[in-house]
Amino acid sequence: MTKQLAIALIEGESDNAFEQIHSLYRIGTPIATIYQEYITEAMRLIGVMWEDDEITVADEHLATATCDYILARFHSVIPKPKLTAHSKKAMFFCVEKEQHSLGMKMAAYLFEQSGWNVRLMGANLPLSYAKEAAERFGPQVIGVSLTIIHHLEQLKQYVIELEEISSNPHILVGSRLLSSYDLKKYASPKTRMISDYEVLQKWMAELDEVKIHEHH
Amino acid sequence: MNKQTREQVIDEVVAGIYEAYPEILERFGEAGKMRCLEDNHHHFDHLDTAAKLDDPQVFTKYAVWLTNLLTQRGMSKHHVIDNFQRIHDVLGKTATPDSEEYQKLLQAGIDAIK
Repeated sequence: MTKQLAIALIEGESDNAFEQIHSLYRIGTPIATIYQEYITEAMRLIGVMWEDDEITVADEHLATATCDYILARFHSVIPKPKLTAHSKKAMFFCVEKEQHSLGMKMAAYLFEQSGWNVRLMGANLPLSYAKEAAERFGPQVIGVSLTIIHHLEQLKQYVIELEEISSNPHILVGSRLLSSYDLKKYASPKTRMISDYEVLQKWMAELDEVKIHEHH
Repeated sequence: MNKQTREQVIDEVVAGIYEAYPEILERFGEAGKMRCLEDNHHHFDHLDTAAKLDDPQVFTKYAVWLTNLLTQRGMSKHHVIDNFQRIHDVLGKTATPDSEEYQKLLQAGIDAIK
């Protein structure tokens, strides 16, 4: 199934790839599982195929663009709770120079599907702009993403400065690097490292529980 | 490592590679030489990051990943080892504060590939 999805993405067959993930959704597969075990795995497999010289850079770029499109299309057909003035807020982006944004988008979509008011700020967002945007928006959660090891050095500064935002947000860090590096030293004790979407979904649910108890 | 030193080291390393293996110029032409320069900048990017993060794994993981990439494309791991060894040797003659640390990283990279 992962291989089949990877091939559709490499061929740029967006309808085929969309149908594959939508059919998983129709039979009741949780979206976090679809993101983790199908989309992420298919993209990982595509990376391995490029490393092994089975596909070219152009194939990999087409697969990424197709994946980006079907993720947005899939997200658009998921029913979402209506936003209100009380909806919780989250913003997501990649650190400066980081161009790999698929993982961050899936995290943002999960929050939106759970009724959060989400601002998805894309790839390559310098810290000064991220801070200014966060001060204006006042999110309870800020998701920061990075993929390339050369961008890791700046993570600590992002975490320190974003944790000082007046809305006192939880900072989440999502990264492919989590599977091979200990990122804790580039964060603060409060920072949450998110290594997969099922864990993220669970944490989001716990956060809702806490909020409910606080209200009571 | 500053940009000027990096470029001087890379120029000497690449010149050395082309002197030792003139056949690669015939096989891949000038474009191949540009690629070789680019690859050496990638090697230095990883050396810089490994040094900044104080984590040799950054370089050893890259060395193993790169070797897999190149062997899948018909090159031998000895090309990578040879390239790293040349950087190691040129750095040995270059008086910069980072030389020794980078040499250790290169040696760790070579050991990881072997």
